[in-house]
Parts: sequence; C-alpha cells; structure tokens
Amino acid sequence: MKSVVLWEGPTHRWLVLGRDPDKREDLIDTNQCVIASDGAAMLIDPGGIEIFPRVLSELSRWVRTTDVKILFSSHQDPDVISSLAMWLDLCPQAQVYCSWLWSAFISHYCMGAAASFQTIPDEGMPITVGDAIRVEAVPAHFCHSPGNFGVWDPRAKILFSGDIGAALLPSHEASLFVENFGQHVKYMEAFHLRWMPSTTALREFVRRARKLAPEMIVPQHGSIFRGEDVRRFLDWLESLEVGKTKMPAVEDDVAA
Amino acid sequence: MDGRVVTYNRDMNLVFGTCVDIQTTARSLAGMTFDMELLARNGVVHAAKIPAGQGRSLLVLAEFLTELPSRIRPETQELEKLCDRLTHNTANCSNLARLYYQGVRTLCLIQHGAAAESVDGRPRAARFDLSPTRYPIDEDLAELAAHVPGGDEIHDRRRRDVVDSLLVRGSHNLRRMESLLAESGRALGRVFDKLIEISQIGSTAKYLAQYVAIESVQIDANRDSFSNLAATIRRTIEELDQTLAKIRSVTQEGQRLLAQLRQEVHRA
Repeated sequence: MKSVVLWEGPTHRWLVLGRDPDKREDLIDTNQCVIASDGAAMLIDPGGIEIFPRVLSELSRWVRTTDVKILFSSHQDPDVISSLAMWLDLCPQAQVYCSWLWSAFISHYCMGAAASFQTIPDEGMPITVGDAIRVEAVPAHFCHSPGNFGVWDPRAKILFSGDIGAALLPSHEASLFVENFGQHVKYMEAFHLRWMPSTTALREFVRRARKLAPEMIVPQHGSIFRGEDVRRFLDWLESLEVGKTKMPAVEDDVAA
Repeated sequence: MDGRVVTYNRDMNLVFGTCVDIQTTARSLAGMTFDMELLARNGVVHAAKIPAGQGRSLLVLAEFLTELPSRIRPETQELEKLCDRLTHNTANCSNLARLYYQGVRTLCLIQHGAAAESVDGRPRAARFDLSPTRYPIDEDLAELAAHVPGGDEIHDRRRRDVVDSLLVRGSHNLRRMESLLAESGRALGRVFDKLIEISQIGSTAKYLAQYVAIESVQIDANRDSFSNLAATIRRTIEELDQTLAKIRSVTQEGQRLLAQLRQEVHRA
C-alpha cells in the first residue's frame, strides 16, 4: 500500500493511502484519507477489515496510535468501516463520527469494543481535530447512502466525497489523480448509474460543492480530481440521470 | 505466519460449533423428559383403575416415575445455562483471535516494509518471518518487533510507537483468550458432570420401568397397558442414553480442542 501527501500546510497535512499491489482481487479498492497534525489525526473512511493490517502498517510512518482522535465514517458500508473493532482496540481514545442514521448499525462492527460515537445530524456539523484542524461534515444524503457525509477542509480546499466520484479502475497501477477526464468517465459511469439512487440528491451535492469551490475532490474509490477536473467532474455529475436501473420482472409481467 | 494462525481461528470456530451442538442436543432432552412425564401420569391413571387393591404397588411405582422427569428438568436447565455461557465465551474468543490475527499481520507487514528499506544501498534490516506451524505468542512477537529497525527519524519513532502499541494490545488480547479458554474448559467439565447425573437419573427410571413390567404380570386387568407403559419408558430412556452419549462425545471433542488451543497460547 502507498501513502501520498495530497496537501501540506502550517497546521496539518492530508494523506491518502491506497493503491495496494497486494490487494486481494475480490476486494473493492479503496482510498483511505488521513488528516494529521502533530499529536492529532482523523482517519476518513479507514477501510475494511481485510485491509486493516496494510493500512496501519503504512499509516505507522505518519501517525502514532495515540494520535488517532477521530474515525470518520462517511456511511455504513463494510469497505468504509468494517475495520472499526481493530482501530478501537488500538486507539480506544478515538471517537467515531458518523450519521445519526447509522450509529446503531455501525456498532455491529465493534465486536464488543467500547466505542464513543459522535453522531452527525442531517445538516452536518463542524469537526475539530486536535487544536488546529477545523473541517466540516458536509451532507451528501442518498449519494448513495441515505445517511451520508463528505468532509470539507476549507484551508486545504479539499472535499472528500465518499462514493460520489467513485470509479472502478482496472488496476492498482492506475494514476492516483485523474489524467484524462474523458477516458476516466467510463470507469465512473456504471458505478453511478447503479449505485446512486437519486438525480435530485446528486444535483444537490453539485450545488453544495460548487459553493465550497474545492481545488481537489477525493472519492473513496478511484482517482482524485484536481484543478480543472474538479469543474469537469461536477459538470458531468450534474448532467447524469440516475435511479433508472431496470428492476427484475415481477412474475405477473412475465406471464403477460 | 498465516498457516497456524488461520487454522487456529478455524479450530476456535469448531469449538463454537461444538458448543452449539451440545446446546441443541441438550434442548432435545427437555422434550424427552416431558414425554416421560406424560407416560408416567398415564400409568398413575391406569393403576388407580385396577380394582381390589391389585394395582397398589403399580401405583407406587408409577408415582415414582412421575417424579423422575422433574428431577431431570433442573439438570437440563443447568446444562442449557452452561452451554449459553460456553457459546458466549467461544464467540468472544473467536473475536479476540481475529483481532490478534490482524495485529500479528500488521506487525509482520511493518517488519517486512522496514526490511525493504535501504540505507547506502544496504537493507536496514533482515526480513523476519514467524513460524507458519506455531501459533505466535508474546516471545515470538517480541522477536519480530526486535527486527524492526529503530532510529531518530520521526517516521522511525512513529513506527516504533505503533509496534509497541501492537505488542501491548496483542499481549492483552492473548491473555484474554487464555482466560476465556480456561473458563470454557471448566464449563465443559461441568457439562460432563451434568451428563453423568442425568444419565444416572435415566438409569433409575429404566430400573423402575423393568419393575413395572414384572409387576404387571401379576394383575388381571390392564396388564397390556402396563406392559406397554414399561416398554415405552424403556424406549424413551434408551433414546435419552443415545442422546447423552452423543453429547458426551461432542463434549469430549470440545475439551480436546480447547486443551489444544490453550496449550498453544500458553507455550511458555
């Protein structure tokens, strides 16, 4: 697994961990994000149970276990947060941030570990990491999860978007950053058409994101958008019509 | 490393399966004791109908039989509580084994990552692998950790901190596993004792049923009913014996597995 510094400033840095060449083929690839300063770190979508050893082993270059103050879960999926029991075992001081909708479900990943949950209301909330880092949980409900949040860092101008912008790339060697947006679309389209249930929700996200004016959008799967590709991505997302997946036929329809 | 750790977890799950088997079979005992009680009550009714005092001894015997299931019931209830505790323990142990496994994997990856680093063209450390045939315990992990190079660079210090945390948690989880395995071993021992007690109660019922069969030859009326009652009770007891034998066998297997699991985490 590799770790890359996405941004570095006087108060903190953003890291992304991913692109593991030894990842099992049957596991969906994920980007794990970290916001870290001296003495405090927030893990954003820390990842599934199967990749925990690789994530921690790479993270150990950057962060002490005692520094991990927040485990942020954009939504409830296992690739996002099924490693929770391991993190809590090593970092019992960490608070778990997630939508109020999912805390009772995500608790099932705790395997008996005591967890301190900070549930996020639908409208989102500011999050302070350590003394110097101020970010925001930004609502992105129904994209795809009904209780779903991104993370906005106004200083770094980075928006972590969770499954929005996800792409199923063919190889772990694919570029960390989008290099050719036109080519990249084909890796995003199928994902969004199937997983995203609501065109209205996607457009609401686009409206919100444009107002924030990020310089980078980091999805949980696939490559990162930066510079002009941020605008291209938001334009593409706004044009997408989702929620039209054909359902399996009901027996009566077949008989008719 | 993966070899024995993975099979250890599998063996742990087998113990869990054993406990569930015991619990399921123990529940079937409750059904059998209810059947015996109905049979015995049936006998009491029949004995009371026999005229001229001929049924008196049969009545006494049948009343004895009605009490026996109520003696078995508390034992089966106790058995069920023991099984509840066992399944709870082994499930927790399984979770701990999983945590432990992930921690050990992480330590291995950190060491291998460090071994892949080089300074002036020379590797910083030799790659160290845990034995694939042994369950790694504290000493093994300490040896592994000793092969993670230190240094004054900040990332070396952070890495050292994570390694130390993993060692502490690993040791803690291993101790908890040991403790739960020991408790489970004791509980299985009590299960075995309960099975012996239930078996003895069943033997008494079988003896009494044989006596009913003998006594029934002496009476004129309802002889067949009593012979049938005795035969049915014998069959029920035989079924009970078979069930108890099955639980005993499963319990012994569970004890064997637990002893093996305990021994591996307590090599020192």
